[in-house]
Amino acid sequence: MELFTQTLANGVMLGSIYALVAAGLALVFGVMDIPQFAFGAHAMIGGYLTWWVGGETGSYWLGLLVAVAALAALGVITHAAVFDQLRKAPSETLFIAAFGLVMVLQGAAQVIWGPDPRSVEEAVPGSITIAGATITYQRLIIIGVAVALFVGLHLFLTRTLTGLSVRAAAQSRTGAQAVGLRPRAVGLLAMAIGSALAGLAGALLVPISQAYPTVGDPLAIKAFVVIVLAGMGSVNGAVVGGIVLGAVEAFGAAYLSLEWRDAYPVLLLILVLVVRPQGLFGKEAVAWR
Amino acid sequence: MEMTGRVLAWALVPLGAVLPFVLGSPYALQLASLVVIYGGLMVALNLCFGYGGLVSVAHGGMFGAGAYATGVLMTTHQWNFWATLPVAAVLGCAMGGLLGLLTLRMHGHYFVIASLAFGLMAQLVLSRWTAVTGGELGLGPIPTYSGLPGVSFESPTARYLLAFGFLVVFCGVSALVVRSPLGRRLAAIKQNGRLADALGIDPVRTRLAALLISSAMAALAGSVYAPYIGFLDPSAGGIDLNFKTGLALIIGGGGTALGPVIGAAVHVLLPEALRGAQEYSVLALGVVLLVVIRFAPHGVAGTLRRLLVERERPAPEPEAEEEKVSTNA
Repeated sequence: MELFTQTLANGVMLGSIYALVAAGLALVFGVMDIPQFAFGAHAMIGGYLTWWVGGETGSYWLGLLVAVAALAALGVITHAAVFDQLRKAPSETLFIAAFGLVMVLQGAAQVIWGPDPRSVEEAVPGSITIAGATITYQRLIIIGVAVALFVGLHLFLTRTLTGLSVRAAAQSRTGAQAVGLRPRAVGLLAMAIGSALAGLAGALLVPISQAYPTVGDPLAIKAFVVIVLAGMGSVNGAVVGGIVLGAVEAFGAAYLSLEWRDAYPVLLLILVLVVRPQGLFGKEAVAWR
Repeated sequence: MEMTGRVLAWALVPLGAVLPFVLGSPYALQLASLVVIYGGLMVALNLCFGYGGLVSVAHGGMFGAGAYATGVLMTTHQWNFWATLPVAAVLGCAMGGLLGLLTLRMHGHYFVIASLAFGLMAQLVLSRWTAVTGGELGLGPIPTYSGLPGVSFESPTARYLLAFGFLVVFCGVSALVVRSPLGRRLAAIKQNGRLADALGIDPVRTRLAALLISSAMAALAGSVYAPYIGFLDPSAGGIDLNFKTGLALIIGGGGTALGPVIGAAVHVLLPEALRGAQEYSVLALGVVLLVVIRFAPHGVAGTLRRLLVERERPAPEPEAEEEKVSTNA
C-alpha cells in the first residue's frame, strides 16, 4: 500500500511536469501545426534561469517568475525569427528547424554554464507523509502550481475573448481570418504561452532534477508522446495525457522493471497508435485527414 | 541540367575510388571511410526523407540494428561477414514495415513522432538487452570484413574500397528507385497527396515500399559500419545519430543525388573541424542548420542545382515543386 501511494504521488508529480510542457505543445500544434521540439530545451533554460536569478537574489520564487517571463519573451523571439519565416515551408522543415533550435539552446547553455549540473535549493524544504507516502513540499508545490495553471489556462481559453480567438484560429485558420482575427498574432501568443509553460515546468523541476544542458530532452520527447496520446491539438487532453504518462512511467518503474522505465512511454505510444490512433480525446477526422 | 547532374554524379565514382591513393595520412583515410559508410545511411534516409517526404527519426535505429546484427553474428557466433548481410537487411525491412504499417495511414507529424518512438526503442533495446548486445559496455572486438575468393580486406585501403563499393551500390539502387514508376508515384504524393490519391495512386503502399527499401539499406549500411569500427556501443544506433544525420542531410540537400554524400561529409568532418572548440560545436551546428533552412532550404546540393538550372535556362526560376518533378521525370 505504501509503495502504491508513493508511486502514485511520484507519478502525479512527474505527470504534472509532462502535462505543463504538453499543454503548451498542444496549443502551438493546434494553432500553427508547428512541432516545437525545443520546448524541452526551453524547460532547461527555465531551470538555469531559476538557478541563476534564485541564487543571486536568494528567492526561488523570484527566479521562477523571471524564468517564466524570459521564456515567454524567448518564445516570441524564436517564433518571429524562425517559425514565422518558415510558415510556407513543408512540415518536415519545421521539425528540423525545431531541432536546430534545440542545438542552439543546448550549445548556448554549454558555453555559458558548462556541462556540470547546477543544484537549486527546494523552495520549502522538508516533506509530509500522506497515506504512507513521503512527499516533499517541492513536489506538492509542483502539483499545486500545475493544477492552478491548468484551471487558469482553461478559463483563459474558454472565457476570454483572446482565448476564444486562439481556439478559433486552431479550428480554422481561414475562418478566423474571415471574421477579422489575425492568425499570425494569435500564433505569436500561442508560442509565448507554450514557451512560458515550458519555462515554468523547468523552473518547478529544477530543485529535483538539477540544471544541465540535456535535462530537457526527455521532456521534449514525452510531450510528443502525450499529445499523440491525447489527440493532437487537445489542450485538456494533454493535461490528462500528461498525468496518465507520468503514472504509467512511475508504476512501470516500481512494479515491472526500473531498467526499462524509458520504454513504457514508447510502448504506450505504440499501443495508442495501434488501438486508437486519433488519441484518447481526438476526433477521428483530424487524425485521418 | 539533368545531364549535368548525372554526369557530375558518375564522375565522382572513379574519383572516390582513387581517393585512398591520393590521401596522404591514415587519419584522412579513416575519415574518408567514415564519410563513405555514413554516406550509405544518408542515401537510405534520403530515399525516405528527401524523395518521399517522410521525416524519419528511426533510420539511425535501423543502422544500429544492422550494425549489431552483423557485430553479434560475427563476434558471438563466428559468422562470415557476407552471410550476415541478408539477416541485417531482413531486420531493417521488418522494422521499417512495422513503422510503416503503424503510421503511414496517418497524416503529417504522426510519422515523425512514431519514428522518434521507434528510434528511442531501438536505442533502449541496444542498451538494455545486455545478454546479446553487451549493453552500455559495448560489443567487441568485431573481426574485420571476411575476405572473398582472392580478395582480402585487411588493409585500410581495401576496407575503404569495400565500403565505397557499398555506397556506389546504394546510390545506384536509390537512382533506380527514383527513376522507376515507384519513384514517380512517390514524387507525385510528395508534391500533392490529394491529387495523387485522386489519380489512383495508393499513398500507403507507395510509401511503404519506399520505406522498406530505405530501411533495408540503412541496416546494410550499419552492417558495413560494424566490422570497420570494430566496436559497437548503443550510441551506434542512438537518437543523437538520428537527429544529426537528418540535420546533415538537410544541410547537404535532401531529394538530390549528391546531397547525402555532402551530408555525410558534414556529419563526419564538421565535428572534426570543430574539435579544438568542442564546447562551441553543438551551438555552431545548430546555427548552421537554422541558417541553411532559412536561406538555402534545398541544402548545398539543391542550391548548386538551382544555380546550374538558372545558368543553362535563363527562363524565370521554376517553382521548387515543379523542379522536383522535372528531375524525376
